[in-house]
Amino acid sequence: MSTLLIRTVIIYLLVFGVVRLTGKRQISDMQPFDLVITLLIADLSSTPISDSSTPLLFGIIPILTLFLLHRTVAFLALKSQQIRSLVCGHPIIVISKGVVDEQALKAANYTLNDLIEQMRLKDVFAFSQVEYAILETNGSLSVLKNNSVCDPDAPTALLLSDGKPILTALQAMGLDEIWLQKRLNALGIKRYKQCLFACMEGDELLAQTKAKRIKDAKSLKIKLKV
Amino acid sequence: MTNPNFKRASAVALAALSLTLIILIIACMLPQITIKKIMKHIEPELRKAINAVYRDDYADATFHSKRVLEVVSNNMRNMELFFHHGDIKELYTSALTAASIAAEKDPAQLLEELCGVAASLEYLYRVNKLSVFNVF
Repeated sequence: MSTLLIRTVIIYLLVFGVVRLTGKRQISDMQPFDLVITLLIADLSSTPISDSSTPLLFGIIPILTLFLLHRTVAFLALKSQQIRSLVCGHPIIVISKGVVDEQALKAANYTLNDLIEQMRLKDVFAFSQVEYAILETNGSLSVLKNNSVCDPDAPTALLLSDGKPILTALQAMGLDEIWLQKRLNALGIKRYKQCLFACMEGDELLAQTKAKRIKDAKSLKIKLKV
Repeated sequence: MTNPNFKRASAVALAALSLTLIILIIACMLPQITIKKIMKHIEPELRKAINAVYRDDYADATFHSKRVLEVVSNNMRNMELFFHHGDIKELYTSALTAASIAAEKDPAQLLEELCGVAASLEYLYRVNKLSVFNVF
């Protein structure tokens, strides 16, 4: 038992030292290569602690190797733009001048619900409030608000997503498809498939059309009484 | 509040990296060096023990089997640093059994144990050698 105790202390000190030496960003939001080393170290350190028939070196060597690899990748990413792009990726502008870029969302494997959720985490509850939104390489969303006076009294409720109406959301608001179709027609949207999304923001219905290029997409609004 | 001393931090990081590299190089080389050293001492004794069994010279077989056990026992602690303890136990068990039964004049059993020692050593050597098959 005392062997296990000492092994645990050794592995703990080693892992602590490695995590500390890999830099502060390990503790906060992580880039993909930071996440990889964190997950691997967690797994590698468990076996030598619990299994005393495995030499301690079977845990120490892989952990030190990962530390060396991580520092090498971090150093190369610091020195070379190409390697940084390869390792970390690029930030992606998902909302540009208030218009959601559908192609950018697809490229990032990001759904509208993910986008709305991240906006809420940034205390932004309406698309109308957003001038630019950038999906960073560590997965977080940066939001530049516009000067809109829009002050919704309820969070954005998505009523249509990617050309399909969300019936549960409509029913929750005491609405139906006929109501939605009428309002979209008023905005010039004849079919659901033309629409990337439609949502309620306070007393306004906001809809954006689908387009292959973001500059062709239109963000449309209509004030209404529900 | 002031910024910490970055020069000292980068010196520490550099020292840690250098130390890591040295440890890794040594740790990669030592298992092979250890097992080669042991094999260099054991193989002649094993060969002599096996030949003695074929000659029905059990006194000689006993002597060389005990020599094999002695080499294994003396190097067990070193081996346990680098190899799985289960594999070391197997090696030790075979050597101990060979040394114990050599005087019984049972050639089949004795040869089995002596070959077990040879096989365990060969396994430890091969499994720690750098090769494509070991990597995958």
